[in-house]
Amino acid sequence: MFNWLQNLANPTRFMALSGVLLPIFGAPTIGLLAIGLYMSFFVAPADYQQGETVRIMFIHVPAAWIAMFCYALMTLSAIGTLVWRHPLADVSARAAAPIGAVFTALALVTGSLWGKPMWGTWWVWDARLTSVLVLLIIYLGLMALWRAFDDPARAARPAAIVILVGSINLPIIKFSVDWWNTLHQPASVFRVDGPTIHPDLLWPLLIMALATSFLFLTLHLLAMRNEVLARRIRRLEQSAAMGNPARKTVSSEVGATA
Amino acid sequence: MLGEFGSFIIWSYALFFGAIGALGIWLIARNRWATKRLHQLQQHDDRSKN
Repeated sequence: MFNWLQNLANPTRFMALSGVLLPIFGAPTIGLLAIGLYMSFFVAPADYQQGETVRIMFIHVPAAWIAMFCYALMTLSAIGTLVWRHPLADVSARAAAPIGAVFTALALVTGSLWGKPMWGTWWVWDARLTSVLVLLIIYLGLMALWRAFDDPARAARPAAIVILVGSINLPIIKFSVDWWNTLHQPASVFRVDGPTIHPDLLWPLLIMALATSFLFLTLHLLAMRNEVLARRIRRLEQSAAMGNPARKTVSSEVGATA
Repeated sequence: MLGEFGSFIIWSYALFFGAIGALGIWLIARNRWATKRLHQLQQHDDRSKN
């Protein structure tokens, strides 16, 4: 496994593999989204308390799960950057940040659109909502940090440290509804005693969650390819500006942190 | 069909698919631009070597 990851340090090898993987992730994304949408509107019944508004759950919950999964992936990438100095780890973290920010913003906005008819308010400063807002601020802060450095390789270590510090927010988000008295409902799917949602509502939710997961993988792979290309372009532009022809492709061009 | 709060549901789905669609289009457009730019630079680099 580790050797396989080491082989991916070669950007040419990574670009070849990701080119093969993109349609493999992309095709199920479209199919699962279509099935999930159909189930969300035509198979799932209205909730006995929330009525039709429960349909917002089928996009709100997957968006929130992906927002957290994305940060967990960035945390693993940060470990990869700091411990193994894997060139692709920083590429992975940097590519994931804007995608994570979009999913976090979507979780907040769709949650707000769900909260207004159900709670009677767009926003409350309860622990769950506030900790997810903090996650969005961390994503935006990291994106600003990466942009503040001219050389992406120099930004890798400080960004990895900030990611690791920010990862303390993940258990806070997950357990906020248990640790504090919140307006947000407690967990109803990932529970020790099993899901408390009726299967008629659970299945569309799981299909949409799977679709969103494939969507995230597709977008992340695409963003990683863009980041590798951007670093190659930067290197060639620097070489052209200095009047030196660039050396052949080496792994350091994707951002070695050494 | 969607009841009293139908507009909230429609806005949620519109924002969700609008945002992920825009993100996907932006990533694909950036990929195409980067591939083209890299090709140009590589040609320039090859000419410099010769």
